[in-house]
Order: sequence, then C-alpha cells, then structure tokens
Amino acid sequence: MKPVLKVEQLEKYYGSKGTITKAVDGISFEIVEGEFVGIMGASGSGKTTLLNCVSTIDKATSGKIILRDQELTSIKSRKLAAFRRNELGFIFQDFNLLDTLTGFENIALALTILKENPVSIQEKVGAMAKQLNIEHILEKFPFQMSGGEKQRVASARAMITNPSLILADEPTGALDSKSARQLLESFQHLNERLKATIMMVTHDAFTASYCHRIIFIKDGKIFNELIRGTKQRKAFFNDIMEVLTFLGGDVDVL
Amino acid sequence: MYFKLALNNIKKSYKDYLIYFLTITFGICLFYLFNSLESQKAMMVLDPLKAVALTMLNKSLSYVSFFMTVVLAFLMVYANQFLIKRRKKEIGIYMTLGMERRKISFILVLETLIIGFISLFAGLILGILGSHFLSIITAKMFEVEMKEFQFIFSKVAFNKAIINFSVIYGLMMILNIFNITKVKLIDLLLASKKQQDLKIKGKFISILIFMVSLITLGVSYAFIIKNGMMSFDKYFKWSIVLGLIGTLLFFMSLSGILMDIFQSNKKFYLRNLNMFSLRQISSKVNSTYIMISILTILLLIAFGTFSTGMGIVSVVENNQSKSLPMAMTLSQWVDSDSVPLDNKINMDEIGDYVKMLIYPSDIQLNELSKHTELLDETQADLIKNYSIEVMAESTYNAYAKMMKLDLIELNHEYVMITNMEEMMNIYKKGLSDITFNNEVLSPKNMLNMSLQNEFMAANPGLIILPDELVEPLEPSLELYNFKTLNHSIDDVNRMLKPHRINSYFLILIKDEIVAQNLGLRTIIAYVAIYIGLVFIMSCVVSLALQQLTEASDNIERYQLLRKLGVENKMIKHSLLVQISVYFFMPLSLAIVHSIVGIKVSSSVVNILGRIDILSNMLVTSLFAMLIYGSYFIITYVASSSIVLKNR
Ligand SMILES: Nc1ncnc2c1ncn2[C@@H]1O[C@H](COP(=O)(O)OP(=O)(O)OP(=O)(O)O)[C@@H](O)[C@H]1O
Ligand SMILES: [Mg+2]
Repeated sequence: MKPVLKVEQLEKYYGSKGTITKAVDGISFEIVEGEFVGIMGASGSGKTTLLNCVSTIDKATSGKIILRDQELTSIKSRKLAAFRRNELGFIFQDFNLLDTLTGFENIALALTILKENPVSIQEKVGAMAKQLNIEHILEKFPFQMSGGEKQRVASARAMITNPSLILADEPTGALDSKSARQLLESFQHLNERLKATIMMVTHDAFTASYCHRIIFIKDGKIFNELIRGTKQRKAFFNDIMEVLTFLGGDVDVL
Repeated sequence: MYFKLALNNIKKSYKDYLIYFLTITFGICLFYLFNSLESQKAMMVLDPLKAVALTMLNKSLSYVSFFMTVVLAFLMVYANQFLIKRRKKEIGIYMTLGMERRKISFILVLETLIIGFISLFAGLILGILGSHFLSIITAKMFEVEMKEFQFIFSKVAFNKAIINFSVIYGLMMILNIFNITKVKLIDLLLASKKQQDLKIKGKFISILIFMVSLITLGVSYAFIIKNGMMSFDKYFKWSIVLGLIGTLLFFMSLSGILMDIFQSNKKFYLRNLNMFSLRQISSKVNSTYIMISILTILLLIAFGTFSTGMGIVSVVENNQSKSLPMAMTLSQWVDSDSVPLDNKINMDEIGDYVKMLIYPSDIQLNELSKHTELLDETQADLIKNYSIEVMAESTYNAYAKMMKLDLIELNHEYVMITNMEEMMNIYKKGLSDITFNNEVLSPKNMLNMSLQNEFMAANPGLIILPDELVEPLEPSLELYNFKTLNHSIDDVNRMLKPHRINSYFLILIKDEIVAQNLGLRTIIAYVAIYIGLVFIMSCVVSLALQQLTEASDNIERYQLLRKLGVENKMIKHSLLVQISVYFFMPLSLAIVHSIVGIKVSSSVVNILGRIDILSNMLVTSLFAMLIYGSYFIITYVASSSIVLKNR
C-alpha cells in the first residue's frame, strides 16, 4: 500500500543557544493509507510537537514531511490553509472550540469554510451529532458544556469533513469509558468505511488498543513500535501494557 | 513591598494596561482641550465685541463640559471594569493561594493609582500641546490675526482636569474594592469564559424591546419637533430623556433581532465565516450596548453643534450685502424728550444723506396676509403678532432718488417692503386691503429690499402710505441714511461719539459691521469645529481602542480558525465586517437623530434667513467621514496585523 504520510529525520528544537529543548529529535516513520496509528510516550516526550509539525501548524527545524507526494515543508502558506481544511481534521489536546459559537456552529464551521451547501450542512451535523451522542448539547455554548462534551464536539468538527488524515491529540483524555468507547468506535467507523487515515496521540492503553500500530516516543526519539496484526484487541492491549511497564513511570492503568 | 508588587503587575500585564492607559490619557487630553477653549483668545487679536461673544459661548459650553465629564467618567469606569474582567482569573488564583481579599484590593488600588498618575500627567501634557497646535491651525484656517507667539496654558482647564479626574479615580477605586470583596471565587476563575452570556433571553422579549425603542424614539422626535428648540420647556426635556432611553433600548435589543433575522436565513448564516462574524458582533454589542449608546449621543452632539454652527455662519454671510445698503445708518428711537439728531450734529459735513422717519401702527401682520400659516410654527409664533411699521411716500421717494431707484406714486394704495425671503413669498400669495383713518387702501406692489443698515436682514414688513395719512402720527424712529461718507470711519466715529449718550442712538457703519460679522463668524465656526472635533475624536478613539482590545483578546480564536484552514483573506473579510458594523452602528443612528435635530434647529436659524441645510449636512458628514474613515482604516489594518501576526 502507498504511504500517505512520510516523515524523514524530523527535528524540532525550541529555545535558543544556551537552553535548547530537542522536542523532536530525528524521527522517521511512514503511515499508509487507511492506517490507524497511535503515538504513545511520557508527558513532555514530544508527541504534541510531532503532531503540530505534521499538521503544518508548526514549522519543523529540519527534516522532511511528505503528505500525498507533497513536501509540506515547501508548500506556500496560502496553499497550506487550503490543504488543512480539505485534507486534515484536528482534535486538539485543549479542545479548542470557539467560545462564541454554539456546539452546532462549532461543528458546522468546518463545513461552511469549505463553502458547502447549507442544507447538507444541517443534515451532516445532525447525523454526526447522533453518532457521537451530542444532539442535546448542539445549542449549548462551550462554557455550558462539560469537558467530555467539549471533546466530543471537537471530534465531530474534525470528522465532519471526511478528511483523509485525522490528527487527534488525546481525544479521550476527558471522557468516561462509555463516551471514550463511543468516540473510538466512530473513529473505527471512519477508518474502516471511509478509509480515513488516523494518527492519534494517547496516554491511555485502552484507547491505544483500537489502533493498528503504536509508535512509542521517548525524549523526542522513536523508542519502540508495536503492530497489532491479526491480534484481538484484548491481546494487543496486554502487549501495550507490557511496553509501558518497560518504559516505566508514565503508566495509565485503566 | 506592595508598591513593588503593583509595579511588577503593571509591567507584567502592560498590554492590558496599555489600552486602559491610552483611554484615560486621551480622555484627559480631550477634557483639557475642551476646557481650555477660553484661553485660546489669548492668542488672537479680538475686539471687545468678539471677546464678549467668546465669553458667552464659553458659559454655555460649561454645560457641555459637565456632560463631557460624565461621559469621560463613564468611559474610564468602563475601561477599568474591562481591565478587572481581564484580570479576574489572576485575582482568583491569588485567592486560591490564600491571599486576603483586603490585600488584593489594596494592590489593585495601588495599580490604579500608579496608572492614574502617569496617565493624568501624560494627558495634561498632550492636552497642552494639543490645544496649542489646534489654535494655530484654526487661527490659520480663519485668518485670525495671531498675536506674537506665546505659549497658552489654561489654569482653569488644568485645575478642572485634576479635580474631576481625581474624583473619578476615587469612585473607580471604591468600585474596584467593592468588586473584589463581594465577588465569588468561582466566578473569578471562570470569568474569562463567561463573557458571551446573552443579556436578553428570548426572541419575543427582544422584539418587544425593539418595538418599544422605536416608539420611544418616535415620540422623542415628535416632541422635539413640537418644541422647535425654541425653549427649554417640558417637551424639550422629555424629548432628550426619551431619546436617550430609546437609543439605549435600541442597541440593547438590536443584536438579538439581527441574530434572529440572519439565523433564520440559513443560506446566509451557514456561508463562509458569516456565523462566526455574527456571533462576534452580537456578543460585542451585547456587552457594550451602553457604550455604543453613549457614543451615538456624543456623535449627535458633534453633528448638531457642527452643522448648526455652520448654518449660522452661512446666514451671517448671505445677508451681509442685502442688509447693508448704506455706507452708514444713524438711528435713534424717538420719545417725548429726545432731540432730533440733526439738531445736534452737522449731518451735511459727514456725507450725502437722507433723513427718514418711521412711524408705529396698530396693524398686525396677520391682518395683512392670510398666509402666515405657510411659515413653520416657530417662525409664525414670532412674526404673526408683529405690528407693522409705516413710512411716508415722500420719504421713500427721497431715499429712492438718492439710491437711483424707481419713484412711487400712491393713489389710495400702499406698498409693502420687506427684506426677508419667507415674508416675500407669503406676501406674493396676496395682500389684503387695509383701512387707515377710515380710508381703504389696496396693495400696489411689494419690494424686497432693505431701507437701512442692519446687523441681519430682519425686517418682516413695513408699509409706505400716502403722506397725508402719515402726517398726524408721532414717529418712533429717525434714520439718517448716508450713501457716502466724506471722512474716514475713525473720523466719523470721533465726530459722533460725544452725542452717543444712550443706547437709543445706533451707529451702523457698513465696513465696521462687515468686519464684526467676519469676527463673529470666525468665533462661531471656530467653536463649532472645535467641539465637533473633540466629540467626534473621542467617539472614534474609543471605538478604535475597543476594536483593538477585541482583536488582541481574540487572537486565540483567529489562531484556531487558521489552524482549521481558514484563509487569511476570509479572516480579514470577517474582521472588516465586524469593524464596519461596530463603527457604523452608532454613526447611522446618530445621523438619523441629527437629521431630525438639524431640521428643527435650522428652522430657528431660518427666521433670520434661508440656509442651505443640505450643503451644511454635506460638509458635516464629509468632515465626520474623513475622521471616521481614517480611524476605521487604521483600526482595520492594525487589527488584521494583530490577528494575523506570526506565521
Ligand atoms: N512553544 C514551546 N517553547 C519551548 N518549549 C516547548 C514549546 N512547546 C513544547 N515545548 C517543550 O517541548 C517538549 C515536548 O513538548 P510536547 O508538548 O510535544 O509534549 P507532549 O509529549 O505532548 O506532552 P503531554 O503528554 O504532556 O501533552 C517539552 O519538554 C516542552 O517543554
Ligand atoms: Mg501534548
């Protein structure tokens, strides 16, 4: 299968001279079309930074990111915007909803900036809300929602455009196990039926067990990789737990 | 120690403080500028008449100045509240860390004091410099002679600024302390997220309030039209009060109404960033409608003074040639013990002249014409009970001979003379016969001319009767009309001065009046432009500051939009829409208000002569547009660079 995303020797340094933080320190990997990849690692290991570079929100210090045969590091910023709204869906670690807009409007925004037909916008938002069980909060403003509700609205916004690559940063971080499962099942649905490629950062082994492959990061470098293959989710979950125990420290047991 | 903490806080959140600081500094600067108006005369060569006019104007301006203090106080309290709101979270964190409320509010008071002191002095320095340059510019514009360069400093304005602003600071500090000691911790921590709480809930209520606001404004307009701006009666007062309430209710309900209208049009609402722009606008209007209403009223005052002032200017100008046909007119009210002037003064020595006697009559203007209803109400009230004056045929003919005009011959007839356009129009509709000493006279014709020098053409009507009818009457006024003068104006004044023992004796020298009118015009225009400038500027500056804080407040929102892939072009468009609506909302209502106001006030000015409302409005709006437009562009450019900066 053809790789959708190719990352080569990616480096991202913060700070200057004296106090350099090597947030991402020479990472290379590939993701093929239709893959569901998890990124795991301790807090501060560089997961969000990696995601931001891939999503073109941040600029890498050096290295290459190739998405669908396009070298992202050389695209003009005007094209980047179009690329982001057409090809990518984001779920940010801190939800990032617009606090002046209602739930409905936050979700619809992703479609209105694609200049979609208003009638189909309403239908699509309705369907997505049903799938994520957030119909009752569509008229609420973000400050009236719980953390989990906000996260589901943000997820709906990321998925509603059927993007070819979804980038999710701790999407289940604030959810109870039932809502987390619901969200992950929507990811799975998107991944299997609509062939969406998903790259998801998580701390949580249960969430990670939905992935096809896990990349472990430590101090900005790839530390290990786990492939699910034909294993059951339960078995995969145990494999993940093993690596995490080995990694030490940052273990989130269910 | 606390002082240091406060100072550090200011340094840390200097961005928040900057806008607050600029608002206050600018407020103080404008306040000083406005109140230093009187001291401007120090720079100009003014004759006593002009000086009196300026002092009188100044007196009425003190009311405006009081109003301005209130407005500025409000602006400052508003800016302060805004600041507190932005720092609520920080204060909340202090509290969770266990700092006492008393200490927190003490630190806040210190912060306010420090900023207050700095901005007070910055504002005063700016004001002093500003008033100096403003006076140079205006003096140049009106070709007023400038005394040699001197630095003007208005002690009155300086003291006033310090006292007023100290009081406002005091109030603000009390408010802050109250704010901090009463508020709940949870609200402080959630403050930044709770801003978009809607003020009015429910469609029905906002429609109701909107309707009420329109009705209130309508009634207010009706009252001011009825009042005609001729007196400070109860209609006037109610019109002002209802106008204020109506404006407030209008903006209070506006965003709800607009949201409803646009939301129901899904095609529009769900296109590009329209939804985002509308939400931004509506949350802004919801939280600042009081401010917007105040700005509307400020703009109204600015337009009102500006265009009415311009109106007076053009009246003075237009009438000048018409009301000054002679080189000089001497006039004296006649009573039982007055001596005719030509008994005391050698008139032939002074120049070529005609003596004319004017007689009173008991004929009222509305007996002569059935058409006084054509005048608008205010003019009609003034004029219809006016008793017409009378002159003899032979007197007029002597005058006409000197001025090389057609002579008249009356045969049981009379001639009507006026120099007011409106009265002429009425007389043209037909004049009635009159009975004078049992003799019936029919109208022969009417003349549109002045018989003597006047400050303004304001003779509503005088009739010329056959000599034999006038002879038995006692004159009320004697006029000496000089076509030419044999001496210089100074010499003539010197010759006449000893005889000017009372105010019944008027000397109206054409060249002098022209000069005086020019001076009066200058002062009026000067004041009108000054006030207009000060008010429009304060509006526009507060709007610009508002928008800039808004932009820096919302950086995160725009950043998110960009992350989601919204192009810069679309973001800029949304900003443009937001800023336009915010800038032009108060402007539009102010224009509607002032069209009504100027129409009414112009009919007052109109009694003295027709003014060109349209061209005055045009000048005013051109002027406003210029200031408004440049600030609008600056705000737009600055906000887009704030919002779109870094990457
Ligand atoms: N803007 C920045 N400036 C300087 N250093 C930064 C910046 N953003 C991140 N870092 C540093 O880079 C490193 C990686 O940060 P990153 O946010 O990618 O971690 P993470 O793996 O997402 O952690 P978490 O699981 O806690 O979200 C950290 O040491 C962080 O301090
Ligand atoms: Mg992170």
